[in-house]
Amino acid sequence: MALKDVLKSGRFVITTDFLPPKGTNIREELKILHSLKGRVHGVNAADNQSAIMSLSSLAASYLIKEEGLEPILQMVCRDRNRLALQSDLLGAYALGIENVLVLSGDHQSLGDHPGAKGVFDIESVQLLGVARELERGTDMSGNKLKGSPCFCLGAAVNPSSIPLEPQIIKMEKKVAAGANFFQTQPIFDIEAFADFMEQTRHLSVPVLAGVFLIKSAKMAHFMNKNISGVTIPKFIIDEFEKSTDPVNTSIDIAARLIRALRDLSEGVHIYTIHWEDKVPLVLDRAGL
Amino acid sequence: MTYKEKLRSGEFVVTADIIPPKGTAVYKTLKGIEVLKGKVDAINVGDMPGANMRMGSLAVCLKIKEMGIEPIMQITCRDRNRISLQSEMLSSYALGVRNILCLRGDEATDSDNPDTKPVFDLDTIQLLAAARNLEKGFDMGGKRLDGMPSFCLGAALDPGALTPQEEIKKARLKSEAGAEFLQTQPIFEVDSYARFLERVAFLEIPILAGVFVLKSAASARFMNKNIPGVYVPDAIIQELEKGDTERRSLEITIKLIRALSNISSGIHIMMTTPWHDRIPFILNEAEIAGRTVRPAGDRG
Repeated sequence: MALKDVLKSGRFVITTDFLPPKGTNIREELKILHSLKGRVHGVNAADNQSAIMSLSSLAASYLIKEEGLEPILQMVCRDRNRLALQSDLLGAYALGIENVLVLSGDHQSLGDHPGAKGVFDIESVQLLGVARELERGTDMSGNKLKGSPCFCLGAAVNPSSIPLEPQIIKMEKKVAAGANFFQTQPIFDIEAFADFMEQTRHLSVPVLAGVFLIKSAKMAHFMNKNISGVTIPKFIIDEFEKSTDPVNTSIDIAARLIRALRDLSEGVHIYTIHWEDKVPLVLDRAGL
Repeated sequence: MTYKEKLRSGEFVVTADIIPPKGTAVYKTLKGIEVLKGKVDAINVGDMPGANMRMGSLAVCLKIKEMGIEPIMQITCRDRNRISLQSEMLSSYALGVRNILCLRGDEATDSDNPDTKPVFDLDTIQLLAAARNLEKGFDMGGKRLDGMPSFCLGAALDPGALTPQEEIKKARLKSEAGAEFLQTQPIFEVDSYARFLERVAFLEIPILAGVFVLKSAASARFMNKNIPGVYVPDAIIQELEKGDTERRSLEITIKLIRALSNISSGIHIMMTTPWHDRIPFILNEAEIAGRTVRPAGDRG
């Protein structure tokens, strides 16, 4: 089923992510997604995640679709100007890719090409609006199109942001610009997330809560130190430190989070960072 | 034989071009080039020429490949930074598009999206070098790749450049950076082109002469006025003004191709949309169809 239909159906929506390789060996890596068939409703193809140069999200989405899964094309505003962004949106649609997740993109100084020029010709709210304009049959400058696309558009939100108010204002703008759904940053604090959902109830757009597969105590410490807006609570880190089977602990924690999030959000987005094959185990344990 | 193999074997090569649709109606674009299957060696897919927003080159290349025609993906430095350019080149290879024409890209100021921010993070010589570096298994940041591509790389050459010395130097740099073939701007004066070719013969790579199918006297005048380095002689414009424009246009093109085929490694027929269906006739009349051997004296 197309993601847009799942979103409308009221079912609990499950998406996950795929990081395209840094190189051309993608077909081998796509095999890891086989176990996800029938278990998830969409797979995000990351767009040069963390400004690390990789195979493009468009190519990855095309191949994910060939594998029989529903791709979600991520598009960041860091590397392409408005011409290329619009051009690639049309290209994606022509290749049968209809789900697009619009993001600002991490600053290039964080990646492996720190000397790259940050383009940022338009930002994520504008890009959502542009995609909707293309649907209406004109480009960003109002020129008429021959044949218009049709997208299911997603955007990102960080419910752990402090203060929360600016995030909600941005989220409102994204909804107004055309976002059909949201994927959140990783959630660890269920109560804070419940509060966020309460505060954004008026938007009535499906929110997929981010569930991150932590791999080790070391990774948790790293994230707390380096990723703004993400705080992994001490009790989770303690669990890893006591664990003799970190994979099992990771699956356990993710499944527990999903059980708690099930009654709060319309779905979950599972961040795997190359642990795509653990997703079915997480879902099994979460009772999904 | 692939386009790359033909270039290497010394065969006379013929390419044409298409401009992706402004919108999603790619079906029509593809329909138009069906007649070219088996008639040309490859088709260039433009990357928003004139900086007018159109469907992405890679997507259209994939569609052309599905039809059994070999695409040449044009990529410009105008719209993407080094992350996106390298990412795009890895992707094109992974999806089976191996021919890439590296271009600078027209300025966006007079385009249909004039507020576009020009990127130009890399120039064409750096882009060619980056592509060759990917082939060696490394990105521009020096990181090792998981699987490396292999390309057939081309670049542009402007024989009518105001400063030919500069252009020749640039061509040398492009060739050194990795260009395996060059495609020229439209040529209308064969004699002066022949003299220019002598000056770049040291490059020892095939040079495809650009053949622009003029559809009217007005378009000839437009080119003279607006496209630097391109000059359509008065004789051609007068010819087109005599009426029966299509017949005369085809005759002019055929005559040009005949003359160019005696001195070139191949030809690149430009701006043929929507006249793709005339190309087989043009090639036939110019006695290009079936030609395999390059003329003597061509050192490409």
